[in-house]
Amino acid sequence: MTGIVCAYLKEAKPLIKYFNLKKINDKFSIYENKKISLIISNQGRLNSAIATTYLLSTRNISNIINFGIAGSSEFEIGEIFLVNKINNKFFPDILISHPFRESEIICFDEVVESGNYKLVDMESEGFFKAAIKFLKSHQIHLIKIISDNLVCFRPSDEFMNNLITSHLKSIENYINSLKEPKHFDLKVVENLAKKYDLSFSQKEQLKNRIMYYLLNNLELPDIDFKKSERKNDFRRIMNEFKI
Amino acid sequence: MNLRFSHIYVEKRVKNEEYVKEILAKFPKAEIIEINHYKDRFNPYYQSFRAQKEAQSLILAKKEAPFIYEASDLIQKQDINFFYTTPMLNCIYDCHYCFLQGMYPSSNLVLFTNFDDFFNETEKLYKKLGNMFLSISYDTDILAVENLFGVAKKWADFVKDKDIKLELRTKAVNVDFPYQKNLVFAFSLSPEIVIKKYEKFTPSLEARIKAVKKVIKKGFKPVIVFDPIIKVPNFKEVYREFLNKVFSEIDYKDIESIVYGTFRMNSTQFKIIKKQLLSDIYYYPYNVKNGIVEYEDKKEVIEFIESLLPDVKKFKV
Repeated sequence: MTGIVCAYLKEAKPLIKYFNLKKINDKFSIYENKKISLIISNQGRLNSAIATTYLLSTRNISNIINFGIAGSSEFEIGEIFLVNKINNKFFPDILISHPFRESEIICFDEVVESGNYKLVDMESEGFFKAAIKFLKSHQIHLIKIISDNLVCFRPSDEFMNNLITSHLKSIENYINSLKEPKHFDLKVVENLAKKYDLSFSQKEQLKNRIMYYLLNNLELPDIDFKKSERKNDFRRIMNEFKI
Repeated sequence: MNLRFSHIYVEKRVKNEEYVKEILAKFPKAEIIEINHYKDRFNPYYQSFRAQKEAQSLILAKKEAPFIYEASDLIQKQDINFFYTTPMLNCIYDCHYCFLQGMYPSSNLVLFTNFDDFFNETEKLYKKLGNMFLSISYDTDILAVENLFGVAKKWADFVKDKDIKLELRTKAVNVDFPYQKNLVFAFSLSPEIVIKKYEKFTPSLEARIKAVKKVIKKGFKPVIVFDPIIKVPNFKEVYREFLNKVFSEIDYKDIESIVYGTFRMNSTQFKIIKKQLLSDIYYYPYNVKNGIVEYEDKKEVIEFIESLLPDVKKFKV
């Protein structure tokens, strides 16, 4: 599942509509479908960190995106960016090809109305610092759309909709390209451990042996003898695996 | 799509160096990201060594002391005064048995650009000792990226008139190199099945043998390295066939020595790697002795390999 953290509902609305996310009953404002869970954090790095922590603690999320608007003194309104550096010290790992331009971002606690900045926002650092407690840096993504050239304003729904809608397809493609971690099904270990009452350490040894077989594409032996005594059963099981 | 070096991180303090500019010019499409210190990018715990291997970034940085290290007991000390240095951290190859996976939080390639600092420190030690055996391919495969970075050439020039043997241990086949007497080419060879399964991104056995022959033709006596020897299924057959092939194509009289050893690893590194990498190497039954993971039947494996080796100088671990 992919998590999305937005500061404002206005930023999230085009995504909620596009991905057909449904509001669910929760402590936070959360919108979901089977593949995406979107949370509204409210403004600021602390709020973003809290919402990110909540989402990652309560969902099985393998990639998380901080999506929202950003100010810039350099780029044009409407341009979209993938962030590669936050406050000169945090680095989301960009390991897949993508259609966006990349930029650094500086995270402030107040609205920035002057200076020379590629991207500025108020959430990125809080989001990232929370996310790294749960995920690796290549699973953490920040997508920002320029909303202003460092002026304080209150964007309308229509403005936000126009700003974001043209990028929805590329955001969808990006989400689809994110990898889910591989899992090995080791039910066979659990079944044997249960059947022959194996100890924790015996289970671990058996797991190693079975993993060795699976990774060498060897056929697992069919183990089905009468239960006797744990130690003997374990020895017999291990003897079935020839290494 | 190969994303290797699609991102290059450059320390502010080296960004204006000529060498750095030359490197950056070779990657016109890369994202160049300025950093304060390479450790800001390299050290954080929340990176995935494995994921980064699929799209390695390059970090250009300045190394601080120490520049020279004494070789560990886990590698073969072929000479007295055996030292190694680290002009790079990490490697573009991805070998399942490599200890670097358990040592570094990141698999990004760090290239240190302050060559003069390395040379000055080496010079001081050399003057004290009178001779040295220096490996520059210990934490990396320097020849694998020689066409891009030219690091081995810089070191070769540095040791030219000195009594320093410069070891270039490699799986690469890029040996079109300014040959000189004190270079020690050490070729790591493995059975093709081991290469395919455990030595991702490396050249084939065929190509490596060709490179060995090329070096011999130039009048050099290379070192041949069979390390680590891996107990693959049908181990004896695989290694018998492999060693037959190697010594039917390479005349053993043309090589300087053979270095060999079975798979072994510090047990802490072993545990770290096992958590990250899905490779059968880490699921084989091993002994742990004095903090080192090794084969239960290491002695028999070594004896078997020794029975197949020709009569040349040998170094075993």
